[in-house]
Amino acid sequence: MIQILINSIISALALSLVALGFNLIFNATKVFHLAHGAMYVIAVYGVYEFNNYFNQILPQSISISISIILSLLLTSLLIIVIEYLVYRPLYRKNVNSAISLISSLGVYLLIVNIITFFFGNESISLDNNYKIVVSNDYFKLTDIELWHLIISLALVTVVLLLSRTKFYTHIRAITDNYNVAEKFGINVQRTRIISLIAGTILVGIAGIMKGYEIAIEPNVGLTIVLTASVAVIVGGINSLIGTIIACFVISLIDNFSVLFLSAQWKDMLTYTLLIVVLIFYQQGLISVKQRIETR
Amino acid sequence: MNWLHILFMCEIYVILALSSNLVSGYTGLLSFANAAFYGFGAYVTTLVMKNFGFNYFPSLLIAIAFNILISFIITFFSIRLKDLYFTLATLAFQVIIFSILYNWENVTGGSYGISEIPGVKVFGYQLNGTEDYVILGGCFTLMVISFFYFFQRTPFVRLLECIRDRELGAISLGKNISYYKFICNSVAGAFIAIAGSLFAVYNSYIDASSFTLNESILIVSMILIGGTGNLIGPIFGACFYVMLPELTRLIPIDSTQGASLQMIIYSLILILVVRFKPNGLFGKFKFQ
Repeated sequence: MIQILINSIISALALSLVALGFNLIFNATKVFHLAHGAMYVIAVYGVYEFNNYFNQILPQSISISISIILSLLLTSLLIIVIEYLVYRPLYRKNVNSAISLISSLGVYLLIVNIITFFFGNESISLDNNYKIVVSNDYFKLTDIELWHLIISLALVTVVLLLSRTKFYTHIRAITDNYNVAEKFGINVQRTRIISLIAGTILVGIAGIMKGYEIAIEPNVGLTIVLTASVAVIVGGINSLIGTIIACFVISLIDNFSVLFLSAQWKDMLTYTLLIVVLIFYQQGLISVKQRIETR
Repeated sequence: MNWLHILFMCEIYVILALSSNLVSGYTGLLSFANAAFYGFGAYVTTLVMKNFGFNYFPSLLIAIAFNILISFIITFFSIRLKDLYFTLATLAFQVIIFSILYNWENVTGGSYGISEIPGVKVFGYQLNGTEDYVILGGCFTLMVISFFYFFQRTPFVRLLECIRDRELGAISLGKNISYYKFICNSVAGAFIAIAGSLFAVYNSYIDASSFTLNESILIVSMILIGGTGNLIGPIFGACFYVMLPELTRLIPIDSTQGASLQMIIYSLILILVVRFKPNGLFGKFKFQ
């Protein structure tokens, strides 16, 4: 029981990294950023390949840290390219959210299939020789899970602290009405790029942690990003705290449903939650009150 | 290269794309639940044929009725949602229905699927061989195409276009929007059931992996590439998407790489079309 609780806390924190990144990007760019899932996968493949290369010339710990940094840089570079080639022209044309969803889906499929084209379809794992550090009658913790917990708690705290800064206010202003925000002297393009990079780094770290914990295969990204987007919508689009709470709700449901149902029905429960929320609370569980005209 | 097989798949996907065009193109509701209806059509036809010993056509009618019922339920839940939220709700329904088809093992056979689906008998003549099925599918496809050809000129479609372009305008003309959305979703569901049942009896084996979210994405990208809101666009998109794998098969690489190469080409085309030609190659309406 306690073991399940701890597992769900860990997976909730990992999911909230993905979901917070998704939330930042969705608020700043209004793109339903499905390519987020591709970033999740590509960060892991980056670490794997860079590490394979640097392993031969450098000691293990240095080579791993260099490859993590390089891989995060690579994903940030990629997101900038995507922003310039795909998202910004669509933003200029002022298209609706359904069509930007489609083009983001196109980007996702492109990246994932390039990965499977070159590296194959098998799942890869970064490191599997973990050891158990905490063990008593109630629960066990491996060292990787402990690192997982610490890093994701730290990152979630950092994001929540950053949401008090002026930069986050800029994002909120752009969400509300980017035309007016531009008139008030907010640099919309820069804010878009910074939040894209921030979200991508968050999702990259989440992916790398998953790669250390179990293993990752190229097609896993879509499931992750859809679950994260469910969390964002359930929690309320404007609220970071709401997103985190929704992540906890989703992973508690996921992990505790195993006691009553078989594990195959996980997806169904998550999406049923989405439909219930869409029908009854379209603004999300935690929402900022808005005037009716601006909805 | 088996041309008859390709022709048959073209026919199925033309039906799918045209019916999805009714919802996404004419009415402007981008739906990701098409593969769910497709799967229901296939599974209901199969189960009725195998468990009750019905012939093909009565079971097709039952599948159509069932799909209309399901589309009523889905529309009932998603009727008040607008663009992105509607898309997300249909996506959620797609995932839920897929997991029902995949996990309800007593009825649908789970990942093993259902095999040995009996063939079609038309007036006592047992269809066998691909040619017969191509003719059967051709009849249905012609029926669907001619339906849409005449349907395009009715006032009904003009009203759907009005809902797409300016919903408030349609309301202020005193039209009952929910009624029209119900009708157009159930007509699309009914036609998709035909495609599903054709797929089931042709393959004589179905499993849930043919009806995933990726299939829905494929159908949506077909109509986006061809162009929405008219007849020729979805037909072109469907044929193009069925033909392309045959072209990539000419390049000498192994099959997994070939599958990724196909998806790379599809997604590149999708990105480029959305970026440079938002109303598709033949479309008159663009999502904005």
